[in-house]
Amino acid sequence: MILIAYILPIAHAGHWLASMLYLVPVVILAGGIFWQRRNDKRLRDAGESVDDADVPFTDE
Amino acid sequence: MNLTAIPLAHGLGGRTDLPLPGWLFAWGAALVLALSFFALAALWTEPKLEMARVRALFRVPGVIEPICGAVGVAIFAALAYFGFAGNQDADQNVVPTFVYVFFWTMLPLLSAIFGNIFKPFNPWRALGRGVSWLRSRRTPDHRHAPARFAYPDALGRWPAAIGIVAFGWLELVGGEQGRDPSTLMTLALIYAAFQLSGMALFGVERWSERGDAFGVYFEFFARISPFTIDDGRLCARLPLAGLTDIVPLAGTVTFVSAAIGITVFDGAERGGLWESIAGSDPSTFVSTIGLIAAVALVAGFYRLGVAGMKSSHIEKSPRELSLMFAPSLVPIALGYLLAHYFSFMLFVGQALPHVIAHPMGNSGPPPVDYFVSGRVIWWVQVLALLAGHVAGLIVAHDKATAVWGKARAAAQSQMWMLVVMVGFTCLGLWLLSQSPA
Repeated sequence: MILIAYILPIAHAGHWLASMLYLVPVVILAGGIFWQRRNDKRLRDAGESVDDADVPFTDE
Repeated sequence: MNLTAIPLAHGLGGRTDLPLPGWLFAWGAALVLALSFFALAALWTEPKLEMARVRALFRVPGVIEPICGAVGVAIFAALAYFGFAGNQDADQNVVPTFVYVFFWTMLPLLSAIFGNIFKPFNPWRALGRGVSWLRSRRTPDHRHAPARFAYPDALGRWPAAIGIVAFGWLELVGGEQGRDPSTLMTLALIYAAFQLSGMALFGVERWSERGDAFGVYFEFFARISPFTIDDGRLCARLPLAGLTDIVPLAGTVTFVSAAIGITVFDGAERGGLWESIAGSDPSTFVSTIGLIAAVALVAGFYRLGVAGMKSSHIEKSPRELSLMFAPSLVPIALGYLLAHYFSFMLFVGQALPHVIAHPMGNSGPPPVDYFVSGRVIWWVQVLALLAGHVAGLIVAHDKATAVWGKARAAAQSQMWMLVVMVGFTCLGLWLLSQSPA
C-alpha cells in the first residue's frame, strides 16, 4: 500500500509534465517583462537614460 | 440516441485525433495574443471604443416592451406549471433543458450578438414594472413613486455576484437536485420573490441593473453587441463599445470572475488534477470549496495584472484600476462560455425543440444525433477562446489609452495584463484538453 502511494504520483508524472507545457508561454512572458523591468531599474539607478514611457513620454 | 447518459449543463469533450498536441495550440494562441498586443500598441493610439458614437436607427414603439414583458411572465408561469405538474425526469421535462441549455448557455451568446434581449422579457422586471405602473395610476398625476430607499453604494453588484455563484453551485455542485424540474422551479420562484422584494425597496431599474444576477449577466454580454436600446430607440455602435460604459461598482470584479470561474471549475472538475486533489467522488463541501477557489483564482490572477498596471506610475488606487478594467474580462467570459459549452449547445440543444413541443415530458426521451465532428468542435473552441482574449486585450488597451493618455504608456501599463490574458487562454485550452473526448 505504501509502495503504491509512492509510485502513483510518479506514474502520473507524464500527465503532469504535459500539463506544465501549457504554462510555458506565461512563464516566458512574465520572465521577459520581469527581466526588462529589472534592467530598466538598473540603468535608471546607474543614471543612464531609459527608453521608458512612464516619465518622460517619448512619443510626443 | 437519447440524453439519459448526458449530464445537463456540463461541457462535452470535442477533441479527437488532433494533428498537433493540445499544448502547442496554447503556445500558438499565446503568440497570437502577443502579436495582437504589439499591433495594438503601434496602431491603436487613441481611445476608439471610449469615444465611439451611438447611432440611432429607429424608434421602438412603446407598446413593444409591455408585450415582451407579458410574454416573459407567461413563459415563466408556463415553466412553473410544467416544472411542478410534468414528468420529473430531467431529460424529458422542458424545465432543465430550457434553464441550462437555452437560458444559461445560448442566451449569453444571443445577447452578445443582438443586444440585451433578456431585459424586455425579464419576468420579474416585467412584474415589478407592472406593479409600479398600477400604483402610478392611483395617483392624481400618474407619476411613478420613487424608490423607498436609495441603493447603497457599498452594495454595488454584490447581490448579483452572490446570485451568479449560487446558480453556478446549483449547476455544478447541486447534483441531481440541480436538475430536478420541481426543485428548479421552486428555486426560480424564491429567486423571483427575492427580486421583487429588491425592486420594491430600491426601484425596479436600479435593482435590475445591480442586484439581479441574470439582469447583470445578460446586460454585460449584451455590451459586446453592436446594438442597444437607448431612450426608446434602437441604436448601432461599435462592437465592444458598450463595455466602456459599465459603471464601476463594488462587486463587479467578483461578478465577472465568477462568470469565468464557474466555467473553469466545470472544466477542472472532470480532469485528472481535480480528481487527484478531491478524489473521484468529492463531497458537496469539497466541491463548494473547489468552486469558490476557481472564482478566487480568476479574481486573484486578474488582480496581479492590475498590480502590474499600478507599477506604471498612475495616481489611482489598485481598487479603482481593478474596477475600471473589469469590463475587459467580459469578452473572456464569453470566450470561455462558448468554448466550454459549444459542443453541449450543439448536442443537447437538439433536444430543445422536442422538449418545447412536449413540455410535460410525456412523449419519451428526445432524439439527438451528433452532426459535427470533434475536430470542428475543437477548432471552434480554440478560436472562441482566442477571439475572447483578443477582444479583452482590445478593451483593456482602449481603456488604458484613455487613462494614461499616451499610446506607449498605455501599452507599457498593459504588459502584465497581457500575461494575465495569456494565462487565461492557456488555462482555458488546458481545461478543454482535460475534457473527456
